[in-house]
Amino acid sequence: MLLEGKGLTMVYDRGKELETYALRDVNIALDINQMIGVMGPSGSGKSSLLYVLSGLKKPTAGTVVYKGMDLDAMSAVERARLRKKEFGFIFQRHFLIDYMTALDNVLVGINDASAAGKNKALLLMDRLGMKHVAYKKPFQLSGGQRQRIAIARALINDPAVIFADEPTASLDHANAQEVMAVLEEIKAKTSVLVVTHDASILKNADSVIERWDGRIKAEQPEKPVVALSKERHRASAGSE
Amino acid sequence: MEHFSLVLPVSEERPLEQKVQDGIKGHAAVDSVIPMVLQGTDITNTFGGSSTTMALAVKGNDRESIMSELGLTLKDGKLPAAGTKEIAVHWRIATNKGWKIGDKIGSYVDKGERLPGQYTVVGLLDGPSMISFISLETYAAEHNLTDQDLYKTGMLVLPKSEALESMNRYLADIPSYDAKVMSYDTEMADVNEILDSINTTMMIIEGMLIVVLSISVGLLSYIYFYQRHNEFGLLYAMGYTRGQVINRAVSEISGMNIAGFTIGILLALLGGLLLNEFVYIPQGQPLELWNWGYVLRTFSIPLFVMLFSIFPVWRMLSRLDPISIIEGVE
Repeated sequence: MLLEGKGLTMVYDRGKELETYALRDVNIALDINQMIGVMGPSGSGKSSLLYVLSGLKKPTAGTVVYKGMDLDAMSAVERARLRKKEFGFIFQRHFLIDYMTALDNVLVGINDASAAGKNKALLLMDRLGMKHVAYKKPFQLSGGQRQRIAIARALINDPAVIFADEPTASLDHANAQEVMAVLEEIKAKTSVLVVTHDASILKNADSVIERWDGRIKAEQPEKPVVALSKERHRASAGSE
Repeated sequence: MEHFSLVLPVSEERPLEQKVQDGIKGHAAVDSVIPMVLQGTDITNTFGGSSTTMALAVKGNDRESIMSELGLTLKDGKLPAAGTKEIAVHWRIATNKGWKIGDKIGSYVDKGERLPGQYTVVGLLDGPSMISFISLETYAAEHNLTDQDLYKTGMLVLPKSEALESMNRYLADIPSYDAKVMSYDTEMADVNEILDSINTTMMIIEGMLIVVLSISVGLLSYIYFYQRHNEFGLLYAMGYTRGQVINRAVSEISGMNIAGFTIGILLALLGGLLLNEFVYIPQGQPLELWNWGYVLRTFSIPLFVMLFSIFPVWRMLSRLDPISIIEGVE
């Protein structure tokens, strides 16, 4: 397995009167060249799962193992280095830097403005159909273009895993489909974990899991552990 | 005053006594003594105040040796002839006062003028000392003074080689009721007293500037970087370490301050050049445009501003939570 989360539990407001479980004993595995969709309503803990798996947050309990390395055993700096080298991030908001051109925004991912870095970024932008806006500022781009630049920024470091948190939430349907098409194309080289509340964008995902109240709501309610495989399975709605 | 000292009577009623004259003339450190009368003319200085420049009434042959000692040359016109009411002034004085060759000057022409009587400007001098010369022979004739009497009206005392300090020490010991001594030491003491006062005032102003600028620029930096907290949150999330992000902010703050300081210095130089060209050189008082001491002292302003800007930004970035930013909570 490329990335594996075992028994992940994430509790907010721990020790307070009202503890909130964002994750409750969740097991999840992501293999190479796989696209997994994580679905669920707001507050279901799907974003927390992404933060924990990517090392942005430490789980209250459980472990995350990436290529055999336990993220919990790493220091904050080591986890930061891992994210920079191995992971790419796409968020609901594009978070492009206003005063930089699209090209410079892409280069932020590698912090390398050398000619080689620029060529790589331009090739990537070309692949995403964005080369013609390379020297435009974010405010000169459409929503879909901005998100594609954000995707280019996530891909510039040749990540092994892309974490996409609601990547289409701020886009109209046509732009959302465009962005998803790009992500599906990326899958040939990079594993992708997409968190969304929109089922329509996950029609080509290898697996889709639904989350509800911090747990994975699976076809087998008594078994909250879901081992993901190439087999596509969509969890049905219903109580656990 | 690095070349000679002046010994003057304490008042018109009390000329220099013979014993004082003899003591000075006979001192081992004294090379020669030139009789003279000290008069003066005021110039307007840079900040609107006035300073008095010396107008020396000396004999023609003495004048030549004084000019040689002071490195003065005749820039234009001629030197005053003996027995005439002529004056040769330094070109800076002339520029400052708006005088030119042929002009009639003096208190008879302008009641506000310090120089008593009426003189015709006949020559312009050039050199490091802002000084003017008039004829002592004329003064002697007007006051019925013999050559010997002229020493009572004042003495310009020239030291032997390397003996200025020794000579000035002797002159400083002359009782103040016998003579008034103007030497390099007495003049420097006066200048230093004024400079100390100016420096204290400048330091207070500089301190206030540092406080005001540190607070205002520190707050502006904080606001500027707070507005960019999305950017820094994203960088954290993408895998930049806090150290890298803080270093980036510190580099930007330092870069902006140093660039601002450099541009400020360059603009100040440009401003100084323009002021010199159009205001101060025409007044005969060019500004000193470059002084490393002042530049280094002024550097304390960006240094403090940097420190006071970096600290709150560092604190903000140290506490930044990337997830709150990603989720739009902050």
